[in-house]
Amino acid sequence: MSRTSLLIVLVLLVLAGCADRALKPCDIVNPACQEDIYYVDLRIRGDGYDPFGGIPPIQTKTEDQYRQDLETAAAQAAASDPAPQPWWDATLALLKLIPPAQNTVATSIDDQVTNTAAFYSWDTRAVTIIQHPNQTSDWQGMVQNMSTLAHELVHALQDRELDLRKVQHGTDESRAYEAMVEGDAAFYQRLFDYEISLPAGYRYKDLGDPVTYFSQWRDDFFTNEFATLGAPFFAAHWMVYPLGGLWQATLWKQGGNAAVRHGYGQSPTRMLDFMAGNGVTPPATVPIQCEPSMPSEFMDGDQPYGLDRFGASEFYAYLFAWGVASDVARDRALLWRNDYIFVYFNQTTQKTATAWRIELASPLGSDLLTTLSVSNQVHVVQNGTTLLITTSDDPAFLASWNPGTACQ
Amino acid sequence: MAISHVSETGSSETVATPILQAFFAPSPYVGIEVEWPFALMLDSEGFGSATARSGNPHLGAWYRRESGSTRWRVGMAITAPIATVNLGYDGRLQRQLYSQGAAAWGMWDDWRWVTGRMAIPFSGSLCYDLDGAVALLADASVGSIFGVRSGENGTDLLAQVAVGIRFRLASSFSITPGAQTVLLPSVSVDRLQTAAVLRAEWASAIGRLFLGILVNLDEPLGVFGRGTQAWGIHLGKELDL
Repeated sequence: MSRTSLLIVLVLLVLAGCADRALKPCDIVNPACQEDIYYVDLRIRGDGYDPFGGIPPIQTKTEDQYRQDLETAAAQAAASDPAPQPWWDATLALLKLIPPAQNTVATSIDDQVTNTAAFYSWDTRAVTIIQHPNQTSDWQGMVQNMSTLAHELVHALQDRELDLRKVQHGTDESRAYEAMVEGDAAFYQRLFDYEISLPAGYRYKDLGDPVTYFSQWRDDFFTNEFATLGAPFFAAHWMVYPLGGLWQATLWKQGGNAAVRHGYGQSPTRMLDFMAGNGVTPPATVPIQCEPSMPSEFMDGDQPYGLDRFGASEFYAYLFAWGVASDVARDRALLWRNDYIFVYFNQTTQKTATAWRIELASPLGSDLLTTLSVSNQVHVVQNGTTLLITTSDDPAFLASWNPGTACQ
Repeated sequence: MAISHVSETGSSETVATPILQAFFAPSPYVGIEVEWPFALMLDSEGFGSATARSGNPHLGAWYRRESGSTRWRVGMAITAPIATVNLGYDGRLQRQLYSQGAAAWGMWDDWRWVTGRMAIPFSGSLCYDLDGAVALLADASVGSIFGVRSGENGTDLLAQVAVGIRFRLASSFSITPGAQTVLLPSVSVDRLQTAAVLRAEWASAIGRLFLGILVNLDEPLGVFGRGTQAWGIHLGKELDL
């Protein structure tokens, strides 16, 4: 064979190898399908192969097995934590961020069993696939499941790169970290979707720029989706997907995978920055150096029972919960510059009192304050750019409580 | 030194893996060697974002003999677990650096790049001169790798075999086509990584110069199958002055 012929044969072999790479809809229970998805994840992230990382253990469970796991876990959690922090439940309910006490566990388990395709456990470093009846009956369902598994396998890759168990300071910082982690997975999940070869005659109607996709998702999230996700406090949690995905997609559009890798170090630590987007210069955090005055019977020693920074995402949730239109709530949430929520509890009366101080870039309008002040159980006072929200399930105490001018 | 270059949508990166080696031969049959690998990555984010990490250095000793047309050598080494990945914002960059560095070598001597682990590899090589112009080469190693830091644990095995034929085209110039395969750790999706190698050697006045091209063939790194679809751009260049 001449050298030219040999070269032609080699080129044909290479092309043949590539021609076979189209990823077709497959059942994620099948190990070959799992491996294909894993390799596509590696490639679209531009990662090399870590022979000691490998594909994580993947187990398959039926819906009944998964339901049993969730019920067992819920029972164990209830048994091991008979006295959860009632002051937080009361606070969130008073602020309308969660509904009054109800049995949310059963609803949650039903929802998870029905809607979970796969998940990655940071504790066991394993992926669990939930096998649903009829999950292979149509290719659309298979594609959806593949997409989910691709997302979960990105978490497995992250687990060799990031500290996924890192404990953050407060809700805002935790959620921002999660936005980076979930945004990374959501973004590459989206790129993965493009890799699937759909049956003849079908194509993605919105196949295009990932930035456009996540921008549309973000807008739809605030306009429509948020209202469908249950309690506002938990609905705000779901923000991490569209906002984190948009952040990563923007980086990727600017500089590909290299920009995403380097972007981790500059990832925001406040949800405000994710809500504002990559192109906005992050405004400074306004310091808060006060603490409300509080009678000693509400104190845990000399400390409040709870102290947290909720961030712009929960400020949005709060505004939404009190009936502010989503576009207005989103716009005003971007005024957030800092907050602290102080939670107090009287062990004798089992009553809660809460002061939430929010620093804003500019004051809220009077009509908005009126909207937020429709309940006698919640007092909203604005002083310049400081918003102080106080609430208690002890009406007599709330009527007499003066948090002090230092914090107003 | 091996160099690999990856070009993808919107970005690119080049990884170089220089390996510093020093030999000491107290007798014609016995040698001691120290090797220290490094990995450097420059990507499209610019020079300010360059990343550099140390691989795992090793201290080894070997014994060699020659009998007629056959020369052989056996040796053993121990590596120091210097290579690590910080679980943090740079973790993905560092992992990428080691992974691409290993890929440029077709996973050969992967104990240089594994993180949080040390290894005790045993090696042997054989050279058989068919005549003055053609020689058969074989090289094999097996190493136990065990986790010692950074949360890595467990013991696994890495084994590798390479064969080649050296054609001496001139008194100072030869080429060696060959193939290598590496048995990867048991946690790997694919247990073998096979690569084709073409190496040219020139004995010059300033020393021996090598230029090698390595193309990973099969999954997980290769141009065939799904793998990382590297399209054979894992190039190796070796320089020994």
